[in-house]
Amino acid sequence: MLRGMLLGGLVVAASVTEGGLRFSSASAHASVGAAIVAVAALAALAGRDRRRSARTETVTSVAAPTHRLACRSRLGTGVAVWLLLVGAAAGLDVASRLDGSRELPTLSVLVGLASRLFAGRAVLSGVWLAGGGWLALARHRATGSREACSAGQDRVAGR
Amino acid sequence: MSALGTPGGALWLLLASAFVLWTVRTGASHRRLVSLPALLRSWLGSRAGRALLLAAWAEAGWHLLCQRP
Repeated sequence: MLRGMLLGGLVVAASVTEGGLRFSSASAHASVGAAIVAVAALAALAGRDRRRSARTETVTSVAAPTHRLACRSRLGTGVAVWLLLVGAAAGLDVASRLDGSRELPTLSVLVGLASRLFAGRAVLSGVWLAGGGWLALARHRATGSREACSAGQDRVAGR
Repeated sequence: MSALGTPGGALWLLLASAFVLWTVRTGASHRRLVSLPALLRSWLGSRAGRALLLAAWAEAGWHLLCQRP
C-alpha cells in the first residue's frame, strides 16, 4: 500500500515535470532516458522472482502463452479480437506513413497534437511511466496448461 | 485538433472506440474472454516476451516524448 502510494506520487511528480519540457530539449531526452534505465533496472531486480520462465527460453516462446490463452477462451475470440485491433492499428499507421497526406494522419501526429500542450504531455508521460512500472512489476499469472486446454476443448465439444 | 476531422482521423477515432469497447467487454466478462492485462501478463511470463514488451514501451516513450511527430 505504502509502496504503491510512493510509486504513484513519483509518477505524478515526474509527469508534471515532464509536462513542462520541450520535445527536442536535452532535459526531455535525459529524463526519458533515465526513466527507461530505471524501469529496465526495476524489471531486472524486482521482477526477477516474479517470472516463471526457464532460463533457456528463446524468442519462439513468445507465441506459446498466447496459444494457451486462446485455448482457454471461448474459441479464442478474446485473443483474436485483440490481435485484430492491434493489426488494424499497425496497418492504418503504416498506410498513413506511406500516404503522407494530411487527410490520413499517423497515430504519432495525433498524439503529438495533444502532447504539445502542458496537460497533454503530462498525462501522456504519466500513462507511459505507469505502463512501464506495471510491465516491470506485474505479477505473472499462470494461464493454463496444455492439459487444461485439451480439457476445455473437450467441454466445448461436449465430450 | 483539425487532424481529427479528416477521414484518417475518423478512422483512428473508430479504432479507439473499438479498443475501449472491447476493453470494457473483456473486463466485464469474468475471465471468459481474454482481457488486455491478461494477455500482457501471459507474455510477461517469458523472458523474450518481457524483453519485447519493455523494448516496445521504451521506443514508444522515446518517439512520443522526445521526437517531434
